[in-house]
Amino acid sequence: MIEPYVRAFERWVVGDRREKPARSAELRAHLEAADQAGELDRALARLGTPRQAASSFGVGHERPAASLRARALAGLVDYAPYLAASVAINVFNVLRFRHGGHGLSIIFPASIEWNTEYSLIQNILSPLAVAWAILGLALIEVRWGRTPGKALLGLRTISDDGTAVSFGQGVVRRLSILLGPLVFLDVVFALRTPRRQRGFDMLAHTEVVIDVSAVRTERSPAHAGSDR
Amino acid sequence: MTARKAQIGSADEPLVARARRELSRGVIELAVLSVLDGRPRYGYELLSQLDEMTGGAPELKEGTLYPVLHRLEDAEYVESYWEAEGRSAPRKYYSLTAAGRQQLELLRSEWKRLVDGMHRLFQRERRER
Repeated sequence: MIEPYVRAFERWVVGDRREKPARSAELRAHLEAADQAGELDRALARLGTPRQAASSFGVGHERPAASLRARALAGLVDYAPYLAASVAINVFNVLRFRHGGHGLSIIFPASIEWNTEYSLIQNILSPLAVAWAILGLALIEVRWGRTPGKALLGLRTISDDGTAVSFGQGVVRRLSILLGPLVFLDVVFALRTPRRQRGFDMLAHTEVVIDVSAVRTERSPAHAGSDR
Repeated sequence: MTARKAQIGSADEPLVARARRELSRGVIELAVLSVLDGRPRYGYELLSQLDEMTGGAPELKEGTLYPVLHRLEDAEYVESYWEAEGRSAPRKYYSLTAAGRQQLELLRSEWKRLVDGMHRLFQRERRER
């Protein structure tokens, strides 16, 4: 009963290579102690779902909100394929216009709009770019905890209860990309909120934090009580 | 008064829980540091001790205890270490640091001041009634 619970807990607990195993070990030790006292059921009931337990064991440590500059740089890395596809589509459209007499359409950034007037490359590449920007990055975040850009900049997206983000949250917080050029409206929220949350971050109950390891160097047992 | 008590015991259960939570919030750190003042303890032991020593007041669950322990650790009032004590599964012990002991003294004196003040207030209220 303990191991499946701890494994489910690991899905939701936030942290780096040191912090996650440390939190899991602490939960496992707690549950084993409760089991030895014959109170495992009561302890599990108090802890709630594995996600609630991850929230309990994960909070308490200070996780500073990431700066907008760092987030913008991380965004540039993460959205590079999306931006590159947007540029490629427009370059192709300009070339097509100059060589074939087709009407010129400039679309930036790429959107999921399907239009028979558009070139085939635009109708295929554009939805793929949007799918990467929303679904692809959300999947990466759920699978590895961080997107490539955030890993490079030392950032992490977490739920506002201190747990890892779900796929749904990852998708919702990226839907602002569908606003196209109006995406800046979403960013305005980040200038006004204490934890620098974008509007869609607030909708998804997420925030971007600096990925500091919350695990301290623990003393060796030999020093226990030596300063008393 | 009796009617009010009966009401609190039934329909106002969330009110009681809220009142307990509000009143407990400020004292949990003091309670945790006090229990750790005796000797290092692991999380489950700390929880059981607090429950046993205080008769369940303040109301404490894992969801409250561990964030408090982590905050105290960040503030360097407590430190932790793993110890197996001959068991297969090691336990994570928390112990007070010198700064933690100072913080405990400060909280104790502030708590005493608060309780004395509230006691005087209640006595004056009783006399005036």
